[in-house]
Amino acid sequence: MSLIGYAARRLGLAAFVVWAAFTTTFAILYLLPSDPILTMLNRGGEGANVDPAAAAALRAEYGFDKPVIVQYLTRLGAALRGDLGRSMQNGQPVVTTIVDALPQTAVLAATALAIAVVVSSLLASAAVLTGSRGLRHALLSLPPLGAAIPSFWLGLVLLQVFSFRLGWFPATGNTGWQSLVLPAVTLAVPTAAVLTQVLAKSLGSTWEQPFVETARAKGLPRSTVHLRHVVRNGAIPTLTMVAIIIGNTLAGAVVTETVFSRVGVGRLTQSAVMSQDIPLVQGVVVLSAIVFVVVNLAADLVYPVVDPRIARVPATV
Amino acid sequence: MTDLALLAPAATEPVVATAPVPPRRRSRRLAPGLVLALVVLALVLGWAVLPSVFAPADPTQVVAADRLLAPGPGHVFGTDQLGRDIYTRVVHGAAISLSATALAVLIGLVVGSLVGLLSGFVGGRFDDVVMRLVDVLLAIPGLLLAMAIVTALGFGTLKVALAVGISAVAAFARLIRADVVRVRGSAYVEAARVSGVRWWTTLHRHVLPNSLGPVLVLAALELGSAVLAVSALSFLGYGAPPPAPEWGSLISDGRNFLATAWWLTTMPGLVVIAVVLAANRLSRALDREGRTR
Repeated sequence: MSLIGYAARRLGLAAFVVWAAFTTTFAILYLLPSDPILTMLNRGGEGANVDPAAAAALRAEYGFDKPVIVQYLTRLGAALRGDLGRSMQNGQPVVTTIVDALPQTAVLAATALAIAVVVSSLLASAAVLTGSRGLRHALLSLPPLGAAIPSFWLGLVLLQVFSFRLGWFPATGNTGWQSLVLPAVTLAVPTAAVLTQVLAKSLGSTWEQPFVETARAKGLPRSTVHLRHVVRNGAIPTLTMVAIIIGNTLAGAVVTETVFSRVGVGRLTQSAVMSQDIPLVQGVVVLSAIVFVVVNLAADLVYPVVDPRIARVPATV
Repeated sequence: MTDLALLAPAATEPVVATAPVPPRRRSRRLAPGLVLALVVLALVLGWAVLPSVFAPADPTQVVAADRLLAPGPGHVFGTDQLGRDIYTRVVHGAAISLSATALAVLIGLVVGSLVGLLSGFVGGRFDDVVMRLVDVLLAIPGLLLAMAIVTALGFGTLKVALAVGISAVAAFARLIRADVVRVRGSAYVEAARVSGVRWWTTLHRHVLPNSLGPVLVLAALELGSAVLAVSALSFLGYGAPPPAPEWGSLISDGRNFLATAWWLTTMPGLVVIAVVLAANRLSRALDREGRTR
């Protein structure tokens, strides 16, 4: 298959995933037995006496009075034109609401990912390179611990120690780099836990490859072999996971931004679910699917750079 | 017809013989980490089943004089802003949090297994469609998917458990299906089919027992992540309403006293971590057991 054919197939697959995510959330949110209109009118929680006329008017406004298939096609058509409906909380378009909050979350997620990559590379390298069994054992027991800690709890403990006890960082808000430190660390821990496990495993098996022996036989020091040869080869398995990791970071931002009262997509999602704001929740899920496919496509572009052998694959498939 | 029925048991005999017989393993002691994990799980299970044995006091009892006491002899985990004993609340919350977790894992396990089993066994177009759907569900982060389901279902412990369970279905389906496809291609299943064993008999006699091992490993692992997911959702405010001592809401309740009373959040959190670590340790032991067979 030609390169163009390969690219077209990949783009088609990406579009399919986003469409399927849209359809799945539509099915979950609009077809499950709950009435969004009653939820909206019943915001305060009390008052079972909803005005039927008002309910009918709202129903017509949101198109809930039409058959399901018509609703679906209308929404899908609008979504293709970049319109995911309006938030039920404030009537603002879903897309602009999300886009406005996105930069804050992107900065948080990028910082967290950077921390996770640095920490996990150091931990995994140290575990692979150390001669001491005890140290390796200690280092490798850290990731399972990191994965077992509820991130909301970790955030609260960090707040307790570093904001309230020591006063090093502000407890809430989005201003300045100081406010970014604690949330980014909180968000980085689960990611680093996963990354360290994968990296340690693949670095360890790369060290047993024949080319490493050759490099050592040439007289290269262990550090050079590790940095120049092993890391480059051992990092490839982590690339395949990068989309899932970034997706989980987005989901983790929901908890982190709630704990630290930061503005962002995460807290937007938390409050959207709280007030059962269906269009906004669907928008966030579609966003996560878009992020997933874009990151996967990007990872495909990066593969040949990291490993030139892969560059030939598309042409031969 | 009768011929087939008579033939079938005779023909399955050599099949049984070729199925891997577990070798007599050396009797070995359990690793200390695993013992600790089992003790933690047993203890927490005890809390859930018989809370009043482990903590006789009333979890909602307000003692104004004992407000915000630090952990000490009388109150192992300290007391909260209303003077309620936190240890008692954690013990009594175990029933809520653990049954929600168990329900979530059960839904994921049963529904996921059925979907994966059918998909792998039927094969063809059906398999393609189901697996694409599973791929898409796996592309959406689990917590977001669970939140979307909670949006539609509403709030409460049961609904949170449902949401976490549904969002775990895809992972189970994928795993079982891979295993079913592997087992289906094996010689003994082929032998069973050739000798005229009916498909559902093949399914439950040969395919199911042989793909069960990895599923149990995933179930134990999923137990840990379901504890985390359920407590995260109840922390975010979608779980049981306030007086209920659900673990996630216990941690959330302590938020307003972070500066003065660290034990309100720290203690329940440590319990959650212990449970997750224990479940993961159990999963690892099951995995190793399965591999050495």
